[in-house]
Amino acid sequence: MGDAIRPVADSRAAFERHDRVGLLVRRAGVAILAGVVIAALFNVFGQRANTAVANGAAASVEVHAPTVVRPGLLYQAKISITARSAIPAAQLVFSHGWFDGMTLNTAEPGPATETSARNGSVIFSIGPLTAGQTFVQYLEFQVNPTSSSRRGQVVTVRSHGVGLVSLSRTMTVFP
Amino acid sequence: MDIAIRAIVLYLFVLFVMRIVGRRELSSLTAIDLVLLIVMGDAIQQGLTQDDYSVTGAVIVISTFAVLQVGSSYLGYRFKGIRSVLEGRPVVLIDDGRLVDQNLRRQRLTPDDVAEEMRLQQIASFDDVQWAILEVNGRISFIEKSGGE
Repeated sequence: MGDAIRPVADSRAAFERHDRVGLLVRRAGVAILAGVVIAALFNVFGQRANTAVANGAAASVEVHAPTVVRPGLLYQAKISITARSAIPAAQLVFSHGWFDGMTLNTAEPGPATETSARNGSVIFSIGPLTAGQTFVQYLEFQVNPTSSSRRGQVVTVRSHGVGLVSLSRTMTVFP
Repeated sequence: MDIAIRAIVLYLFVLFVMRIVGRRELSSLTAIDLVLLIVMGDAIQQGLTQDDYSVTGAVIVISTFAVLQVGSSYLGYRFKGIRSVLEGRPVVLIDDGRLVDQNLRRQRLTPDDVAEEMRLQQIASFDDVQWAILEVNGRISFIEKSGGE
């Protein structure tokens, strides 16, 4: 046996043992990667939109937006309000979770007025809604790269300071 | 979800492009080939990640490519038919000193290209070659008459 081969041959048993372990580790690694891909295909990492609905006596509100997003991605939140009875001065109140770490590219239609409450909520004034009328608000966002978190997002429909219906959801921003 | 689907679609598309481009381009990179490869890489990156700056997105893309690569190599290992679809088959360019014109034409190779490869391997004449084979990696292997018999 040549000098160059002997060290390898001597350690062959150990090598084969390590090789078996290495194979198992490699297969486990591939399984983990496959798990990541399958999870991604099942929307675990975002950002397919889903719909949440809340009903009140005077109005219902529906939010169609993703609940899981990643930094840099653009997404749309579509908020539909249906008045069950006349609402004289409808307002949409968004909790700070809607805007923290997000860039609001556009809001369509633009609200008549836009103000902020003490707790950081943002208030869009819509105006009067007649019974049966549906109002749709589109918000186009982009996720800021430094905003990884899990936050609550509440949207409330109110009139003259009285809450009519409120919808809570949770948004996860992956790193 | 969409980023994994984009990664799968682009992987299959790149595989398709690499198969139809042919092996000649794979083995010999000219300046324009190199520039086109860089431009293709940039175009793929934009379509793949779009505005996604996230670590999660990068992990998903890399995982998807890795799983597809392992999956395709496993399928190629288990099924010969799939291997020839994914990688192609070796092509005979010279048979007993004679150029196989049909195969050269299919691979867009001229006798001068084959002669150039022969010179690089210190082979002086077509007559000295028993077999010249264009391998699936785009390189040409030569088996000389004296060595092959």
